[in-house]
Order: sequence, then structure tokens, then C-alpha cells
Amino acid sequence: MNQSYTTWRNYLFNKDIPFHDKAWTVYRHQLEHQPVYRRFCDELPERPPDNGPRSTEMAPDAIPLIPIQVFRDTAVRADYADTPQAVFRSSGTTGMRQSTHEIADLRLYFESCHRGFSRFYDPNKYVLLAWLPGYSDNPESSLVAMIDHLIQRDDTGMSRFLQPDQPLAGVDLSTVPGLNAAANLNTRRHRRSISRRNANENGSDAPVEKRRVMLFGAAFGLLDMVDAGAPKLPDDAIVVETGGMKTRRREISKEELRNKLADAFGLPVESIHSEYGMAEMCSQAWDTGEGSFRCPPWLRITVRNPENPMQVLPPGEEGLIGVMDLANVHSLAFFLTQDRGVALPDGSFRVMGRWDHAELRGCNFLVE
Amino acid sequence: MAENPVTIDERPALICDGVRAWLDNEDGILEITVDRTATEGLFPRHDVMFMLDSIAKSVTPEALQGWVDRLHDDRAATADKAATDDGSRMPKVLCLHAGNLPLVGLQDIIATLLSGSVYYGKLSKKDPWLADGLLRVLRKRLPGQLGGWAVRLEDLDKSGADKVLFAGAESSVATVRQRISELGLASGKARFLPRTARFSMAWLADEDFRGDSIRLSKHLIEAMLRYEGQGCRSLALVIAERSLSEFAGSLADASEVFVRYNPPSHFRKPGVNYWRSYLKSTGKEVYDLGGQIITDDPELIGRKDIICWLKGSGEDAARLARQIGPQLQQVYVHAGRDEIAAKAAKKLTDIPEIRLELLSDAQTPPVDWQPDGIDVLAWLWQNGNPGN
Repeated sequence: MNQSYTTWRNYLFNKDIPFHDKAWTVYRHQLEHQPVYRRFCDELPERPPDNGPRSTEMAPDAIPLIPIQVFRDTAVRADYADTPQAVFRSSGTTGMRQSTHEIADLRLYFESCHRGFSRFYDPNKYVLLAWLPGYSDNPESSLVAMIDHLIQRDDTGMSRFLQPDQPLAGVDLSTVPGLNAAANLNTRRHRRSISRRNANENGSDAPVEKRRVMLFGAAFGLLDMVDAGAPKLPDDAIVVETGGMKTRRREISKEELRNKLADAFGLPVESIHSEYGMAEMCSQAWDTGEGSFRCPPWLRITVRNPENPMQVLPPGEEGLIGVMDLANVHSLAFFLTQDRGVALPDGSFRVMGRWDHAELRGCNFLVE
Repeated sequence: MAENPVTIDERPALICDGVRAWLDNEDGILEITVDRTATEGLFPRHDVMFMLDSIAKSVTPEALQGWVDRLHDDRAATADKAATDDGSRMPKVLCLHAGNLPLVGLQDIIATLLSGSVYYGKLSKKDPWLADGLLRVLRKRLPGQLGGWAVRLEDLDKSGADKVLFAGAESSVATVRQRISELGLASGKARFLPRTARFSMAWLADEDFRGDSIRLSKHLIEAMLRYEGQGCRSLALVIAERSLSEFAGSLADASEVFVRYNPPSHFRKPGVNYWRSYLKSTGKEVYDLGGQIITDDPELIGRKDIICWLKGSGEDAARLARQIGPQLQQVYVHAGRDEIAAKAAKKLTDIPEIRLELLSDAQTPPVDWQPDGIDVLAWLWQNGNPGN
């Protein structure tokens, strides 16, 4: 199945086709067009047939997940994509090689980001602010690309990146010129866009709606921000931390991070949300304040047994996070991360930092 | 508990007598427990036999007396010793075993008894029979010092131990403390000694390859494959001035011989097959060694059943040792005993993570070897901060 980029987009986001069918279709496609994935599957002692299962009985969980290292060890691209439309690179920790993710169809990436975000938040109800020091000047950051796209889609012009060199201690972000506050939101451009949308939707000229502030930031960027003095946010603001705890300072638990941010911003802990994404993924999972992540329909996260990554662990057991991101159809859709996670009975999952593989070596009372 | 406390002068001989009696199959205990261990697949019989041989060589009256004597003049190390000498106060030590006897487990039992403390043990599920047999034989010689032991924490007496030895990360102390406090197994002020080391590395200079390569590869394979590579003394990382591909043939030959006499209990576990498939698919060096694999991919350092061989200098070895930090147990060198110090001075800088030892001794440590670089007998005799 070699289809045009447009056909793939239509197929992947088609709500009438179940994940099961799409996953096997992408698997077959990747076996055909991803030589490294093909070789990996061929080397495995057991794997599903090339054509996928004969019946619908075999769950997509049987699809082999290749180690995420493949994005560092090889140039991951579909063999039909001569020139990628974008290249994303991971930030990389000290001494580590960076992951490289070549994006064959940038529109698919943006569509996945926007559709995924829109499943959890109504983009028309938020003003997005992004505090990403260390990322903002990186043209190959997938996080910057995603947030930039979401900002560009905001036709009010209110959403924006905050300047990393701008001191924010004590600044009232709801009154910064051009930003939120009911009054500030009444800009001419915003009123025009709202009027236009309302007119299009129901022909009425409804009053301008108030937007909530959504502040995006990498975990340690936000911690640095609050250490220097947190800016003032409106009471109904949402803070979205985007991970990145492994790159700087010590690793802290998600719960500790949420509590610290909530305290510093004077917000309830439910207003501290999270995004789970990475340079290797075209899609993202979102934690909308419950403390666990949920996926859009074309992304599936499973938790795998570190001693046998082909095995999916039941809810409650900690293991490695496995990704099935069908929006990665032109790169590698099925891979195993080094992140420690746990699936919950309700289908959501939690992320608990990096898996320490050496824990399984030697003697360990807790492991036993 | 002790009606007739045993003095420090008597303990080494009594402990050795117990170990010797156990090895001599007193009451038929050893034979039964070896059979159960092997038939239940807990450890291969060849590893058990190797272990018994190692214990017979390492646990001698001279070795135990030497260990005590070495600490004798160290006042800081023996602050608690005086009190235990006359039996006026016998601290209780809880050992949470998580491995097999010849490594940390045996040493913890012996050190606890040698220190004059009362032993309580949560036996490893992986080694319930052999340890139980040894403890039963020892109890006949030191009845006042063998408090109790069980495989399940819940089955242990509420001893309120003063000190706790266990294998696990420093970060797990709080979890372990909470669990055993809930069960009343340790006092609220108990001191904890977590063992964080997970594996060992070797440094091989170019001249090491110029000599007897068969001897070198035999020692490497013994250090890598003995006990299926699971102990913290097992060799999981080699830094050498020659590449893996240059020495892979010799390793394969030595591995073939080793496996012939010491067949692994598993051919290759699913996780090993998984990584082997990946390494092959990305064109990396990977070779089979018994149930394990060896590769030149540095990202797989420390993974279970995977050995990494990286080409590098002594400085690289020192840098990696620092990087691995508390998860590193030993750094082995291939040399005659008199050469160790010279090699250390020449190739490896004086850093705490590096504890040099001979490669040939990797799986046959002396009884007073130091897990994590800590002398457990000295630790047991210290009057440390109760909250530590």
C-alpha cells in the first residue's frame, strides 16, 4: 500500500476505521518501506506474518516495537521520501547522541498535533503562552514546531512565545499588553475573528468570549521560572509542562513537580497539565489535570515488560513505555522508549521518568 | 538471647567449623538442598558446585581471623565491638537477601555472626534452600546469634533490628524502611546499608593481548558467564585497547568450552533476543556468549544479559567508572598480583569508583571483599548515626 501523503492523512484520521485496522495497515507499509524495521522484524524469533493477521483476533500489540535508539543509530525515513520536509532532533542529555526524526510530510505532523490537542482542549478558548528557554532558538525542536503551529492557528494573535530574556518574576501575565484579561482580549483583531467565526457558524454577532491562559513550558524551564519568581497567572489559567525532566538538574517525580508548580503559581494542582511527546513522535498524549495521560485515537501507548519487550504488561505493573504512533507512518510508527510507565485500568497511563536498566542486574531486594 | 555469649576470639573458629560441617554434608542437609536448588531450576548444578568450592577456599579460620585483625586497630571501625565482645549488648541485624550465597549473601551472614550480632534474615526466593541449610548448621554452633529467618518478610519475628543490610538503590531506603517498620522488623532508629553496585568492568591494555590470549579469554568468560552473569561481581563491561571484533574469535572459543561444561539454564531470554535482533538490524557488532550477548554498543551498558566491549584508553575506563558511579562494583585488570599497583598507577587515576582487582578472582572473592567498597564488618561495628 503505497499511497500519497494526502491519502495517508485521510486514512489515519478517518474516525470510521478502527485503530486495529490502521495499525496493521501501517505495519505492512513499514515492513515494505522501512529497511531497518524490516531487518529487525526478520531477526526476531517470532513476529506476526508480513500481511498481518488473517483475522481480527490478533491485537496490534503483537506488532514488534523497535528500540527508540533506532532514531539515533540510523537515518529513519521511508525509502520513498528523498527529501524530508523537516528534521526534528532531540535535545539529548550530556554525552548522548541526538535522535533524528525526518518528517516526510510536515502537514501530517501539524495535523496530528492540532487534531490531538483539539481532542482535549478547545483551541478557541485558550490563549497559548510558551516559555521554552533552551528550545526557542532550536529550529529542529519538535516541541517548538508543535507549539508554534498551535500559536499560528490562534487567529486572535494573542498566543505567543515569551521571550527567554524577559524577566517574568512578579509580572502579571494577564495584563501584559496584547495578552489575555478580558479587556486585553478585546483587541480589534480578536473581535474581528470572533465575529467572523460567529457569523459563519450561526449568523449571530455574539459577545466576545473570554479566553483562558495556557502556559506551556518544559518541566525544568518552568521550575527555573518559579525559582526566579513566578509570574502572576489568572486564577483559571492552565500550566502545561511538556516533560524534559531528564535533561537538566535532578530528576523529580511528576507529583512533586505538579505540586511545586501549583504552589508557585497559586493554582490548584488540577490546573497543572502535561504533554507527553518527543522528537520521535508525530503525536502527543495529554494529561488534562487528572495525573495521567490519554491518547488521540491514532496513538496507542502500552507498557512493556523490560525483560521481554514483546509482552504487554497488565495495568498497575511498571515497565517500559511502548509507542504506536500511526502518524509516524512515513518514519517509524512502532517503537519502545526508555521511559518508565504504568498503564491504569481506565486506559490512561503515567510516566515515571527514565527506566534504569541496571536495576534488573545484580541483586535487588525490591525487584525480588 | 545468648545465655553463654561467644567471644570475638572464639567466633572465627566456630563459624568456620559450621561452614565446614555444612560443606561436609552434616545431617545430609547440603545434599538435599543442592538437589532442591538444582531441580527447581533456581541455579544450575554446575554453578552450585562452583559456589561450594569457592566457599570452601575462602571461608577459613585464617581468613576470618585476618579480617577481624585487620579492623582491630581501627577505633572508628570497632566502636561497637567492645560492647559485643562481652555479650553485654548484642545488636540485631536484619539481612534482606536478594541473591545467591557466594556473593553478598554469604558474606552478610558471616559478618553478622563475626560482629557478635544476632542474625535475622529474609532469604532470597532465588536461594531459599542452600542458605537455610547453612543457617541450620551454624545455629548448632552459635545458638545465641541465630535469631530467625524466612523467605517471606511476613513470616519473620518482629525483632526490631538495629541494623539492616539489603541490596537496592539508595533511593529505595525509604520504601524498604517503611515496609519493614510496618512489620516491626526493625526499630525506628535502625541504620540501613543499601548495596547499590550492579555489575563490574574490566580494563585491558594492549599488552594484555600480547601474552597468553587463551588464558585471558578464559578469565574473561569465567567473569562474564559464571552465575549467568547476574552478580554484581559479574563482568558486564570491558574497556580495551583492542576492539571487540579483534578478540571476538577468542571469546567465542572460550565461551564454547565454558558452555560445554556449564550449560546455561536458558538458551537466550526473550529480552536478549530482542536486543540481538536490533543490534543485527542496525549492523552493530554482536556475538553470542552462552545465554548472553556481547556488543560494542555503549548505550547498552548495564543491561541484563548484555555485555558491552568498548574500545578505549585507561582514561576512557576511568571516565566511564565515574559515570557509572555507585552501580559499579569492581574494576578488573589482567595481571600478575605484583603488577596491580603498577597498572593502577599507570592507567587509572585514583578515584573512589575504581576498586581494582584481578580478573581471575572475579568470581572467587575473598571472604572480606567489599561490596560497594564498604567493609561490612567494619560497618556493623560502627556506632553510626542511628538515623543513617
